[in-house]
Amino acid sequence: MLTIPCPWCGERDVHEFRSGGEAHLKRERRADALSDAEWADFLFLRANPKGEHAERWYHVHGCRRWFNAVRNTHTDTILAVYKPGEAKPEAAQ
Amino acid sequence: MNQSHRLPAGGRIDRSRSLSFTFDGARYSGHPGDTLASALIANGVHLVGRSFKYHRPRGILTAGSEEPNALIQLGLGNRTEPNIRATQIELYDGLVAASQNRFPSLEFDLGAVNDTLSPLIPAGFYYKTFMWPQRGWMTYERAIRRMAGLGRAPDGPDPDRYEYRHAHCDVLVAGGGAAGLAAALAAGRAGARVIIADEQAEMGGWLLSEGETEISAKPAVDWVGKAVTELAGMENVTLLRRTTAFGYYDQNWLGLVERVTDHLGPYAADHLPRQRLWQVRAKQVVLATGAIERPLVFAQNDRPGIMLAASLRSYIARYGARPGKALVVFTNNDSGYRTALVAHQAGIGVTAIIDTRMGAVGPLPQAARAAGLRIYEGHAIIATSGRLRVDGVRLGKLAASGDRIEGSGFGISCDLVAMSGGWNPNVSLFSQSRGKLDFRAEDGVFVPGQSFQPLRSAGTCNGVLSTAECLAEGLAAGAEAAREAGFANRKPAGLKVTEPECPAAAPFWLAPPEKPLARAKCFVDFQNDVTAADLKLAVREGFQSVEHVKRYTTTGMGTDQGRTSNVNALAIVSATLGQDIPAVGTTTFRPPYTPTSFGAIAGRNIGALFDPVRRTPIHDWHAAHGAKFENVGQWVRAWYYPKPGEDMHAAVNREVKAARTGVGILDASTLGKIEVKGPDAAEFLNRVYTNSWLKLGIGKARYGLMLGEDGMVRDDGVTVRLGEDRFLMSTTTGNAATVMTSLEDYLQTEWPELKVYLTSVTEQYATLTINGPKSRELLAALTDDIDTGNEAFPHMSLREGNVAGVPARVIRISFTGELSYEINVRASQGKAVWEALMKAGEPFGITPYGTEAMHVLRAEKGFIIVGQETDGSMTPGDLGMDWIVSKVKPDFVGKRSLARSDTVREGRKQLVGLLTEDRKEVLEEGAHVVETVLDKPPMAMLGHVTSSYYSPNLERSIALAVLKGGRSLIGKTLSVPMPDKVIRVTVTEPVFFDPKGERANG
Amino acid sequence: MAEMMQDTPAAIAALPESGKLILRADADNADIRAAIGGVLTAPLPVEPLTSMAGDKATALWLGPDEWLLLCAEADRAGLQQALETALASQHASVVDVSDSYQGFSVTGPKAADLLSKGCAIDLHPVAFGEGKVVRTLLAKADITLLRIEAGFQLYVLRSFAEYTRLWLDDAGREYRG
Ligand SMILES: [Zn+2]
Repeated sequence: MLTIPCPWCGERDVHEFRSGGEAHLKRERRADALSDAEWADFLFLRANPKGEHAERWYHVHGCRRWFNAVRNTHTDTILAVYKPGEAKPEAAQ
Repeated sequence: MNQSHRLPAGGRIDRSRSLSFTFDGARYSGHPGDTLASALIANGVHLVGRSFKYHRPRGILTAGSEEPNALIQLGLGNRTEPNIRATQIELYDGLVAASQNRFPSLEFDLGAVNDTLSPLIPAGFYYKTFMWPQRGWMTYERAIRRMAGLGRAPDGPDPDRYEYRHAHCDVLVAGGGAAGLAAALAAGRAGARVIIADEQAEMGGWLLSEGETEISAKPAVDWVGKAVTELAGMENVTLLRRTTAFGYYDQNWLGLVERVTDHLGPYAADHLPRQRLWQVRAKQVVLATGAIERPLVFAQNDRPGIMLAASLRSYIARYGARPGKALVVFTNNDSGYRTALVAHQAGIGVTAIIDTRMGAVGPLPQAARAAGLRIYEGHAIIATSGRLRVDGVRLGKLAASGDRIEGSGFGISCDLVAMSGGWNPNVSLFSQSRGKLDFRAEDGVFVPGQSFQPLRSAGTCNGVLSTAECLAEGLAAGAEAAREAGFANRKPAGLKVTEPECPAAAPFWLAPPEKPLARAKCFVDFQNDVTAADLKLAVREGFQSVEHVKRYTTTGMGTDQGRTSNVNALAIVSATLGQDIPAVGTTTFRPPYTPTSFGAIAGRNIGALFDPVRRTPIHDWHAAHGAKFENVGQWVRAWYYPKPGEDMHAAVNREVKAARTGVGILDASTLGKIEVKGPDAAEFLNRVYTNSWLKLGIGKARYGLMLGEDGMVRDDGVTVRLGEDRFLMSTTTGNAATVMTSLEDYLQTEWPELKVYLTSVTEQYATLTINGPKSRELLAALTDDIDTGNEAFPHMSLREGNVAGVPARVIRISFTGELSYEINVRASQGKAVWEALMKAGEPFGITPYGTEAMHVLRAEKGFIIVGQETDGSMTPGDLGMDWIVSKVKPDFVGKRSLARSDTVREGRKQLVGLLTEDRKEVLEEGAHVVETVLDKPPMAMLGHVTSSYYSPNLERSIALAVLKGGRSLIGKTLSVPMPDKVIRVTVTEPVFFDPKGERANG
Repeated sequence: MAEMMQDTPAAIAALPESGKLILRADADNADIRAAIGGVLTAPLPVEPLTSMAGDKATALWLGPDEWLLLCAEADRAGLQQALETALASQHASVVDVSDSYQGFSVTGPKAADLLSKGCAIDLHPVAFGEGKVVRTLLAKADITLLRIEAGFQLYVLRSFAEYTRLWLDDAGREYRG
């Protein structure tokens, strides 16, 4: 079973976390300027790679912090975790 | 009975005590240390079951958990458990066991007609025969299941307890034989936290059955005893006996099941669990899971009295039992000779050793010759005889090619056959760990190859055969595992071992039968009754992949996962296809290693512990006053309060009337409450709600609607401003946690520049709602510091003061359209304040009302409930709530989506009211609404009923519905088709009562 | 009494009413740390999973900007007031949650074994020493778990107290013989 290393709490069971989907999506605050297609892209279209995927996780049964993780969706291993606002780590790119 | 087949001495049984047990009603006795299998053998019982498909008589094949035949119904009543391997059942006094899959008796089984008919029931028989007509399968299946089923599950609840245990260790050792004990010693001595688990009652594995082996010049069992004592003395080592590592999952997470009291049967102490499920996270794993002897495939190799050679040795040496008087050994390797010699020394007559090879020269064959045992080299068994027990074998001389017999066969009488086809490393757990298996051609075995988790294999599961190698590998693996886990240690000193030499030998896959193969019954998979002929037929019919052959023939698909049959099956399929074994593939093992009880998996998550039941601070009052409750998520809420003689309808009508004419009181404590604090709190609310919040005055309340980014309604509630930088937000009961998660998400990831802190206070307060025209008088009666006047305390505002002598936040808001106050007090004081309100309310006829009356009251007003009128696809506009969506705010969550082409299009579902022609007819929630009724579905559906009640205030039924283009249908008559009738309804505005909203301001 | 406790492999008790506050503030801000430390008479634990005991309150790290403060019921209002005063010019939040949570103690030599029936955290003393604190799951309840000398304290939401008590008592049955 998967464990996830929370950037604050360390290695914990996946049961303690909630997945938040793809990371690094930019929510446009002035979205009126976006076309329907651009907005739909933000709303609905997600990457679904086989391999490395940057995604959001929430330590809901722990420190209650959102953070990002790079996970290999094929092997289901976490390659890196980092805090919101930080760039995807080089090593995992 | 008198244990007629017990040897006069020897074995690890306690002969000073006798244990009585019954099998199929007959009484027998055994000793502590016996398994049910060894005790039955000691009583001369070989026939223990009927096979799955052909109902052939079956005996005990093995001495371990790989047993495919001796599956037993154990115990009585609700403790009975089917399909338990007799080889794993420890004997206890009073044990009750029964055979399975026979009728009317084990000796005379009507189902055995299947055996006579077996030529008519080849591989794939069920697929071929019962495919047509398709719908017939349901009927056939029931009959087939009755014929084929093994044991019987109990009818009632399980009386036993089951526990979970989470554990962490540096090194987990799976298997407590020579290699496992050595590994645990090495890792434990290095200081690592070690868990060692073995499925048997005693650690030691095969060493317990090998009297000839010496370690450090002492009998092997002495070394086992010393090792176990040393391990037990280490604080950092946990020894788990009777514990099977059944599942190897990602990240070195293993599932173990410990049979805590199974060996005591129903006589175990009540406070102990029957089984304990261990969930272990190990930094390093050492697999020391041993090897399983490979049966030889020959004609009628399944008769009772035919068993694996090393298992026979175990029955003699470990259990002091004598499985027969006249033994024939059939082998392709030297370990068969070892069994013959052990049997010979135990006084069992060895009639013949049949070796498929010519000129075996090892020390064991030489010793057998020296002992004068009769040896047939280059021979094979070509048939056996005996109805309920083997009584003879026929053998023939193998041609040099090994695939046919030269000349004619001849018979030998016997009552016991021991077969040895070599050893298969037990790679189940390694395979579960996603490790790759390598094929070793010289003796035809799969050994662990590349692994993908921090583990190492040691001992016979790794492909070595001698005890010396097992100990050396175990010590090295334990030391290395500890080192990898961070415990430096020196290379452990080796151990001196004296043991018979038993080298690996070339495999022998199929003894040519005397009869044609199709009628010879050369069994490969004993549990699922699959023969060599079945496998060959499957290949002839075009199945090439071993996975397809498995499913078609069901070989390896039994509860034993083909532990004794897979490699033989693979070899026969490969030979038939004319390919190498590795080219044809291997099979993947999956958890659980051995069948694991549902009880262990469920643990204590049953009854009251199945799921938390959350009760409000006032729950006990509701219960004491006869409330009926309903579940709202994990919460239990008072539903209605029937008076004597009232049904639900009457009670709800009374409660609803009281809340509009006098005063009602509702426990609303389950509503989510979040304190929002910080200089940017108002800006934050402005972004997460659709309406505007910047100018809300301190002490004022406002209703808010929360959307998802997709513009769909997600939650609603009232938020009050406690101070310049402090708000108290309320959420729906069911969404409290989800809203908190989402709000933290926006603050932590999207708008980190906003200075806002959130704290959930849902459970800090009890929320008591008083509702109705008399509620102001009631409130006034209980407060001396809040001015309750309409001007002083207007609708949608907050006052803080004392209520019933307790500090309270009182919010004047309304979910019913009546004058209403929500009184929030500390949770610990909720019940006392409720009681004070009930007392002070007596003159006003105060009436507690439950969630059902609350629903009726809000439906009369057309107020939505998120999750009832909404389903994640309703926009504010769909709900007729455009009034709450700001047109001027530049941004709020979901804003952009409200301008998407899909959300602004015509024909979206919209909230409307429905009135039935018959005022008494209450629609069913979820019922479909159509314009044109057809004879039968499908009919074009306009939408569905979301809420439906009888309104006592309107003296008629009312309903809310979401209909395509609903607002344009107002005034129209539509239909709600039901199974027995069609109900006519008129579409109306969704507000039925006090449409101008004057009462709440009164 | 002390002897009796020693005889009990795992003793379970509900903790008496006490003061509990949730403090949220920016721990990177030295002024804020100093202001809080002054009130608590102990440094604010900023290291994840740690706690710090002062004269009148113990602070438990819950997250990088969130702490649970435990104090006597009698000190509750005073502590909240003192913190709010000390942090008046700062962005911080102090919320009384005394009634939101129920505390339990699980003590005795089998305390860790008992909790390990429902808690996936490594509770061995080498991994979970005195003063360590985690928010995690115990069976199906969120808990805040604190290691104390005699065993553990855990705090659950008020509405989970009944479930947690049932669960603990049932888990302890094995040790009561
Ligand atoms: Zn965390």
